[in-house]
Parts: sequence; C-alpha cells; structure tokens
Amino acid sequence: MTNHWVDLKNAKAFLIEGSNAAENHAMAMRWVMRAKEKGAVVIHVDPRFTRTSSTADIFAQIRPGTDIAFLGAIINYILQNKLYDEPYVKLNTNAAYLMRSDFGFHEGLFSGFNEKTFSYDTTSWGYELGPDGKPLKAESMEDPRCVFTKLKEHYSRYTFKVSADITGIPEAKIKQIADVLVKNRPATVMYALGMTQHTVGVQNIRGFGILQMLLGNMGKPGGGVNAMRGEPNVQGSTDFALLFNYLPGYLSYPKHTQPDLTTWTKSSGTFRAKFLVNLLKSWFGENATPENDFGYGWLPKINAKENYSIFRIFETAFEGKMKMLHVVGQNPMVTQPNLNLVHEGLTKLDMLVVQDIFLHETACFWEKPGVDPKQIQTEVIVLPAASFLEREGTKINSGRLVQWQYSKIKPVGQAKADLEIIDTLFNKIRDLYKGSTAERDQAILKANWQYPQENMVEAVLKEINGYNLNTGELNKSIGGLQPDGSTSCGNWVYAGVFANGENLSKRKDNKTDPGGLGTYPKFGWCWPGNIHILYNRASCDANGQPFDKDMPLVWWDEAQGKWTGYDVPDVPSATDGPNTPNGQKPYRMAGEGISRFVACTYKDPDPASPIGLPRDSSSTPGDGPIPEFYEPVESPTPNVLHPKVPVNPCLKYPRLKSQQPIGTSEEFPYVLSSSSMAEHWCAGSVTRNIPWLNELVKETTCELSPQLAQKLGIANGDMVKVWSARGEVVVRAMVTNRMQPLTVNGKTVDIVWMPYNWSFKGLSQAASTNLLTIDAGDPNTWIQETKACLVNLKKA
Amino acid sequence: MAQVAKLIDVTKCTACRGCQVACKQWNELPVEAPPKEMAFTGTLQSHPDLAPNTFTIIQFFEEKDDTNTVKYRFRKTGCMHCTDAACILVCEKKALTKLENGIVYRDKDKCIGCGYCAQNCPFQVPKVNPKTEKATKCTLCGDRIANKMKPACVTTCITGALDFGPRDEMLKKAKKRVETLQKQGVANANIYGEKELGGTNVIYVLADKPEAYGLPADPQIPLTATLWQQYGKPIGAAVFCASFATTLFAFFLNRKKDLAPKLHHHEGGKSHGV
Amino acid sequence: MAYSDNDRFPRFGKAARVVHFTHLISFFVLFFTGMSLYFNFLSPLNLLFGGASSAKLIHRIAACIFFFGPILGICLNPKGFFLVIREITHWRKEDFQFIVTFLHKFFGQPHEVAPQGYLNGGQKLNVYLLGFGFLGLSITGFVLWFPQYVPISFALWCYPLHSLLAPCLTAAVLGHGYLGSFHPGSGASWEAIWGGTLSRAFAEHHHARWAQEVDSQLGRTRR
Repeated sequence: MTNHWVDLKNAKAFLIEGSNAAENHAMAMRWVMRAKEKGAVVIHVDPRFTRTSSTADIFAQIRPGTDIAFLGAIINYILQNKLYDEPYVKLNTNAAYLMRSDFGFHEGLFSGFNEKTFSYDTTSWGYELGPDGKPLKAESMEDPRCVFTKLKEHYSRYTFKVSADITGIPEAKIKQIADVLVKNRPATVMYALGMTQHTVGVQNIRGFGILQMLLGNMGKPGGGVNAMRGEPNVQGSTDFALLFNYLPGYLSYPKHTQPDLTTWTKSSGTFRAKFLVNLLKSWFGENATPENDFGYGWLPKINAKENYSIFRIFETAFEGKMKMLHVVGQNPMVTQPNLNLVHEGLTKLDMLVVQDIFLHETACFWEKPGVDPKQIQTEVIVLPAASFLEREGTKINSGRLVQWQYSKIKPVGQAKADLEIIDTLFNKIRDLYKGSTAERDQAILKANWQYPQENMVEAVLKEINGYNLNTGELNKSIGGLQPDGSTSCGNWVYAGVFANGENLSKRKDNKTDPGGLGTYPKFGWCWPGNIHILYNRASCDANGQPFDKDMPLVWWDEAQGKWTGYDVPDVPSATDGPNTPNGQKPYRMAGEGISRFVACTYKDPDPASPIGLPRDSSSTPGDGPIPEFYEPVESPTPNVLHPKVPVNPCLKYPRLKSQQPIGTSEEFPYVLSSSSMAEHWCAGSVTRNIPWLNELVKETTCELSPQLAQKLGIANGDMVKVWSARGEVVVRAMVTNRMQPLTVNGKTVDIVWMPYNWSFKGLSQAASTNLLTIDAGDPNTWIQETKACLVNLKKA
Repeated sequence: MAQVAKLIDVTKCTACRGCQVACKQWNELPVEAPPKEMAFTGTLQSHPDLAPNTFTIIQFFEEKDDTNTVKYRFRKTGCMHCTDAACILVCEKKALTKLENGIVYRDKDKCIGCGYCAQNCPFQVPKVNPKTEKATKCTLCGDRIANKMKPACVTTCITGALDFGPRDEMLKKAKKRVETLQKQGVANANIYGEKELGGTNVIYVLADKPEAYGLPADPQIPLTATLWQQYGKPIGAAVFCASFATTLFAFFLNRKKDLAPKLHHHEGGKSHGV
Repeated sequence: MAYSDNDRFPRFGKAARVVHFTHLISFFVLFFTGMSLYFNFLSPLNLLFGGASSAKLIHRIAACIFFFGPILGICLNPKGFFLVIREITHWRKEDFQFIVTFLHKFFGQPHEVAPQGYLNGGQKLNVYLLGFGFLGLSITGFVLWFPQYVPISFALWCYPLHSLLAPCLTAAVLGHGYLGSFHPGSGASWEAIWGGTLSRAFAEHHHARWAQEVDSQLGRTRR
C-alpha cells in the first residue's frame, strides 16, 4: 500500500479491481464504509459478482486477464480529453522527458526483443541524456519525442470499443467508470491477487500507477495504489526477502555477474549499496570489513539466467536435481497451481522437512488419494510449530504498519516458535561446519548469530533496527545509516523502529490523530521512518503547499525552514526546501526523483563516486516499459490487438513440456478463475481445522451462470466434473446470477469460478481446484496465472 | 434500567460472518452437524435457517432485475427482542420474560422445549434442541451487557453494520442513517423495528422494503395465539369447570336415589323410567 | 330358547372392552400431563410424571395409545365398528325423544324412555362427541408434535383448537363417565363395559328395540 488502511476513509472514489476485499480483506470494508457514509463512490471490477460487489455503486464484470485493456481505455480517454491533473503531471512525472529515438512499439513488441531468449535488450527504452548524464526535458508535454506523447500514442489503440470487445464490459460502463474517477478525486485503487496472478501481473499494477498519476491521486490522503497483502504478515515476509530475487529491504539479490560489491553497485547504485553494507554488517558483524567487501563474497550468488521461484523448486525436484526441501508455514500441496506436478516433485525428494502447526497436505503428500505410499521413498520430518497465538513478535500490515503482538499462551505439546526452531537449527548446523575452511561454508561460520534465549524476538528486532557500532546506540532513522561500516542495520526500511531504545511497534495510542486523517502517528510504527502515506511530497505544489487546502497532509513551513505536517514528510531531507533539488523529489525512490509514465531505463549518476558508479537505478519491468495487453496463456479468444503476439512475449512456458500442457479453447471452452474466500484462509491448513468455519463453507463449489447451467443440464447443487489440460475434479455446482456470460470479440464466453482452499487433509476435505490451474508465471515476479485458465465441465 | 437495542445496518453488512462465529464462540455453541451432511443451501448461506446451536445467521438474498443488475442482499437474522412478543404470550411455563432493559429472556430451567414459541414467533426465531429439550435463541448477550460489554456480534463487526447501546440512541442513529441513505439515492431506505410489535430491541436499517430481506412487512402476534391465549384457554377452562361442577352436582343429587331399571312385563311401547 | 329374567344381552366384545379401558387410561394420562402443561399453576403435577420433560414424553406416549388404540380396535372388530357407524348414521324419532329426556335422566328426574336400538340417542350423540373430539385432538396434537411437516398457518390454528377441544372432550368424558359408572341407574352399563353383557332389565329399559332384536335372534320367547 502506498497509503494505509485507515486512509481509505478519505477517498472520494474507490476502484476495487482484482480484489474481493469484503471477503479476503474484510477489514478494509470498515474504512470503505466510512468513506461511503460521506458519499464516496465504489467501483468494483471483477470476473464475478461477489460480496464486495454488493457494496459497490458500479459493478463491471470483466473477463479474467484483461485488466490492461480496461485500464488502457480509461487512460486513453483521460489523455485524449485532457482530463488529467496537468499541474500534478507536470510537477511529479517524467511526462516531458525526452525518450531515445530508437524506442518503439510494433505489432505487440517493444524495441529490442530477442526471440531466442524471450527477453528484451532494454537499452532503447532509455532517455535522451544530457552531458551530465541526466535526462533531457522537452519544452512542452506535446513534444513528439517526450514520454507523454509516447504514452498517448501507445494507448490511442485502446478505444472504449476495443476495450469492450476484449474485456466484455459494455462500452458505456467503461466510460461511466472513467467519468466517476475523473470527477471524484482523490480516488483510491485497491487490488490484490486478482491483479497480480497473471502472466502480466506487474504490468497490471503499472497500469494503476499510470492512471493514478494522471489523476493526480498519488501521495495524497484518500488516493494511492493499495495492494492488500495477506493477513498473516505477508507484507513483513516480503520486506524480509521472501522473494528469491531480493535481499531484505528490496535490495537486489547478488547475481553471478556481480562477484563483488562494486559490480553490484554498478547495477543498484551507491544509494542502495550503503544499505547493503549495513545489512552485511548486521549479518557478519566484526567479520565484515571494508577490506573483504563487508563479506559480500560470502553470499551465495544466483545464476542471472535462472529463476529460483517456488515453481522451479518442484520442477527441479521433478528433474531429480533437488534433494531436500524445508517448508515453513506454507502448504504448497494446496496452494500451488498444477498440483500434480507439485506432488510428483515431492515424491522425488530424498527428504522433506515441514514446519507447521497442523499435519497438512504437504506434510502428508504421500497420503494423497490414489497414491501408494510404498512407492514413495521421500523421508518426511515434521517440526511442530507454535501458532501465531503462541508466540510474540511483530506483524506488518499492508499499510506497512509494524505492530507488536503479545502472547501469554504456551505452545501446545512439543511445538516451538519458528524463531526458536530456526535458532536451534542454525546453531546445530554451524556446529557441523566447525573447522571448515571451504569458502562456501564461510557465510555460516562467519555469521553474527548469538541471540539471548530470553526476549529473543525483541533482540532480533533490535538487530533489524541496527546500531551505531561506535557508540552502541540503536539507530534513530534511515538518515543515520553510514556507508563505511560504522553502522549496522538488518533491514534499512525498518531503521528507527527501535529509535532511542523504545520498541515503537508496541505503541498503542489510538487517540492522537493530528489533522483527523487517520494517520495515528503514535500507534505502532510505520516503515519507512513512520511515513504513513508514501510520496506525500506529491500532495504539494512546487512551492511545497498542499494542492488540496481542505485535506492538507504535509507542507513546507518557510518560517521554521523545514517540511512538516500531519504525516512524516516523504522528502530526502526535512530541511531542504522546495527551492533545492532535494525539495523537488516527490518520488525519491526512483532514480529520477519523479514518477514515471514510461518506465524508462535510467541510472542516476552519483557525482560523489570517483569511479563513476550510479547513485540509484530506476526499476524497469523486463517485459516492457508501458503496460500492453496480452491474452492469458490459456485464452478463449485471439488477441485482437496483435494476433501474432497473443501472450506476453517474455513468457517461458511450458518449462517442463511433459508436465505443463496448454489447453485450447476448442477442447476447454470455459474460463476458470479461482480465489480464496472469507471463511477459509489460503491452503485452509488452519481454517479447515476449525469446525465453526467449516460450518460456514463446507466444500469446493463451482460457481457458474444459470445460462451455462441450463446449456449443460446442470441444476444448482449437482455434482459436476471440471477438467483442464492438467487435471480434473468433481465438485458441487453453485448456479448463480452472480456469474454471467460475457460477450467477447463478438462471441459468448462463459466464466466459472472455484475457491482453491480445499484438499485431502483436515476436518473439511474436498477437491483441490489447483489440480486444474496453470503454472505459467509473470516473467518479472514468477507469480502464477491462477486467475485465468481454460476448463471444460459437465454433470458428474 | 433504560431500554437497550442492537442496531443492524444491512447497508454496511458485507456478510463476512464474523458475527456468526463470534456468537458461537461466546455462547460456546457447537456446529450444527457434520458439515457435509448439512443441506446445500443453494447460496453461500451457511444454514438453511436458524438452528438450536445457531442463534444468528447471515441470510443471503440473490436476485436479478430486468436490467440484468444483480442484487445481493444480506441480513443478519436472529431474535428481534419484541415488546409485544408472541413467544412470551404463548409460553405456558413462563420461561420467556421481557426484562426491564428490553431483552426477551429465556429461563433455561423453566423451558420444557414444547416449541410453542418456535411456532408462534412471527420471525420463526426460537428453535428447539431435541436433545436438551430446550428452546434456544439469541440472548442479546445479557451476560456481557451486565458486565458493560457489547454483544459478541457487535464487538466483532468490522464494517460498523452492528451497533449496540440505549434504544433511543440507536433509533436516533438509525434515523440519521436512513436520512443519509435517502439523500444518497437509496429511496426505499427504512427503519424496521421502531414500531413493529410494540417496538423491538433489535432495529434494522434496511435499504429496501422488508420483504426483500425476508422480513414480514407487518409482523403481528399470530391471531391464533391471541385466540388461544385470550379466548381458547379461558373458555376451555370454563367448559371444563362447568362440566365438572354439573357432574358433581348430578352425582350428589342422584347419589341416594334408586334408579336401577326394573323389569317391566309389557309389550314394547314406551317404558317408564325415572 | 327359554326366556328368562336373568337373560344376558351380549353387548361389547373383548377387544372393544380392552380398547375402551386403555383408551380411558390414556385419556386420563393425557388429561393430567396436559393439565400441567396447560396451566402453569398446575406445574407441580409434573412431579407425578418425573418432571416436565418426562411429562411431555408421557403425554406423547399416551397420545399414541390414545390414537392407535381405537384404530387397533377397529381393525380387530371391523364388524362392530360398522355396526356403530350404521347406528349413528340412522336416526329414528325415538332417538330424538331420548335426547329430549336426557337431562331428566342425568339429574335423576322421572322420564319416559322411547324404545331404543343398540345405541340410544344419547349414546349416538356421545359417539359423535367423543369421535370428533378424539379425531380433533389427535390431529391437532400430532401437528403440535410435528409442526414442521404442515403449513405454519395450519399449525398455528392447532394451538387454540387443541386447547379448546381438550376441555370439551373432557366435559363429554366426564358426563359419559358419570352416566356409565356413578349414576345410580348405571350399574348395568358398567357391567356391559366390564363384563361385556347387559341385564334384561337394563337392556329392555334403555334399548328396548335392540333387546327385542336380540331376543328374537336368540329365539328367546316369552312364555
């Protein structure tokens, strides 16, 4: 979330797309309802009418996987009719930046595509640079070479007609939504896995970014692009490198092409290298010195050409290349798409360690119905873990709010808190490596790992906050971190959570709310630096005064000579006023310091670096600088925009031909979308063991429209067989008007929906939807396309 | 003690059903039956109806209008805590009483599970547990209220659809909400429970006519219940007493008489008796 | 066969008598268990049956005996049943005359009895009263027991009906019981329902026409 939960109450309009917030982020609706009370308009765009839609003023049923076509039409409408917030766009974006003349887009492909490697050479996506290495700017946003013109050209193809044909949403409704968004500002965007679980997941979210920048909704109360993360600390897990390509704090994971700190810095910039040094100091302590690159060399490097996502885990296991797997707090035998492959992979492991609170499907994969356990040689070890109620520590919500959770309940039986298990495990492993001089073992032997048994969690939080190693004091803020190894910090965005020795995540002041915007600055602690609304500098004009006088958030106080306000101002330096370069960097996390309509490749030069290292590097998605519509891998219709490039060109699928068939619309005429629901959480490992929840929703159902049901002779409550190219299941049909067939490119397309929360263990058992779903992944994040695949169905 | 009330604003309900679970947790109610054996309700609704161990459910109403617009309505169902409560009228055992604060209280020890309340409630709320032979229903968490807490469902409600407090305050709030809704274009917004059945201690804010939420438009104590309690029983008692008295009178009157029939040796015709 | 003053007139078969008394007992069980449910101040009566819960159970068991007893009786002696049906559907002038004199009889006043058949007018009326009371109470009672199987509006009517029918039937039973057992002139009818036969004196007095029929059937002629 760029903003935060409570801030939703400040919105005048909501675009809830790719999210069933009322069911999967139920708490969000508290604030949506507050805004509605004040007259906010709620728009819900989703493949099916859900409990969220019931709260919406406008519901648009969209074909799964066509969000860019929908957003593109709104972006085009805003651009063509000049409905954008011009002062905001001029001040805060790269609209007027000149792009390289060799940048282009033709027939579904951006310039620089390599057909052999399915990847782009992104050089041509850059700016025209001046002699100082900074981008050149056009006189006006109308310049044919500037970013804004490129954006206009790109989306000129996205008319309401084209969009309606692709998405299935009537033209008039798309226009109605566009008008509501234009007229009701600030509008906020709420999304979840419905937007990300696609082969164009990253580009979907970029679409939101462009829309919100045009409308001038970023950095303002009631605006923003808000990703609603999973309740059990998914935000925290991501902050701490849950993803294979990151180190804690979203620092790039070292690749084999970056053998030393300098080569890493060449790609990531000196700004981030400082944070990596602090991380290495935190991990290796005294052993990290400037001479040894602070231990950078000890970190294992990943092969830049390889992908280490969870999908490759089971595929390499299937290929016999992975020997052992340790699964913590996850149940991939339910949650992964193409489950048959997951099972095959697990059977080929030598050993599987599962650390969880219940004996779930992954721990018991050998009990899968129809499988002979005698044929499986995998040794399975279960480490009983304490539940979230039985251990204390921090949880980070979607609004980046770090909150301490206390616990006075002792774990059941032999269960132990995860941290205790990991600590024990690490110490035992280090004992086994004792005396080794092998380079690859040094990361373990040199690690700075001594935690007290008492208050271990708080000791870890202190380490994350980091210390001034000279004085031994805890860091007060990110600003205090040094590049020379004199400070340590386990995760730079968390620097300050333990400022002045106080665990700020324990604060519970829910009364103090200056400005009445719901910031509550003394409740818990928000990363980074307790900034609740990111990019909040953008809520001010060039002189640092709020655009919206009725809802001021931060501002430049000339008298005091500093930035101040109801939130912590998101500026590089609180005392650098609007007349300094630092006072005009509303998006300081991008190399350019401003926001980008076209995600141009750019490295900001660092004048302080004697060897010409960049200061910061802007992030560019590998599959294109502007969101372009591509059909899902399994689609019921051709891509009308560019039939020769129907799907994301950077997609590599199938990766394992024998296990990853692709279904055709002839054989599998219906679109399946799948998701979780209010009553069961994710794999259901916990929730399916709670009888009260099982009573609420008892089994997997397949929701389908009355029209389709009639065509197939299916009555409400009948059992139906649903099958895809990958598997088949028998589930109960739920015939409902909430599902409606769509008209797509002149043809009727039927959509069905199934929840994926069930499998063969626990108190409530039913068929697994993920036997059907496809494991094609977004080329940037490798998130799977579980929101759109093709199936067939008939009465069982 | 002032009258209390629970306010249910259906326009804010998203059917997350936290209230259903919170109710079961606080009242320590088990699940109704092995879930698989429970009837498929045809919608996402969990139970076809309230049940002995289920004091509240969210009812789901799905419908599609002529313009192809889907309406998906939710209503938290449970005891309305009526002032003119049919259940109290028909309870032979006086197990049901209206407390001063407005709660329709069920005395577990007095209840014999006859089910009269279940049948006569205009909302069909009480349910008889065949195992314990007790009728059950929402208690409005009287135990929590006594300890200055709000009912479990209200405490857990995240969207603000549920509220609890003095009845006049809740009514004021409901009226304001209906006003706001009407201003926002919800023309049919209305309050339910203000005057119904003498004023209920559960009040709804509805976005549409009550029938759209499965509520009777004009709930009444059944005529039969009134006939039964106010006429049937007294008349019955009178009939019984009168017949008993008459018989007793005749008994004492005739006790000493020799009325045994004697043989009359005559041909047919009328016989004289006494 | 010779006529004698001591002749007996066969009136009720064994089945009918057994059914009558089980019916009677079940009625009183229903009465007392019902009373305690009917009037809260009579709740202490429940103690006789082991509490309200078992009173309810006993009420229901008794209801089954009450209902299925007579049905069983009909099955065992359908002939007798049809005889009664034929009797109560055929009314003669004398029957009405009997009814007119009924109150005289009840209060022990002198009256004339028109010659009656197998069932006299009063008894015919009694069959109707008890019969409809029996059916009404049974039907409404079973509805109260299993309300879920009938439309709710119908179920709701069964409450006042059951409440009203119960005292009415009780009144009829009281009258019937008094006349049959405690009325000074009824010793003979007690013999009939207990032993199965009537004395000549009673038969000729109360059922003159029937007595003649029986005599002629059995060939009992007066010398």
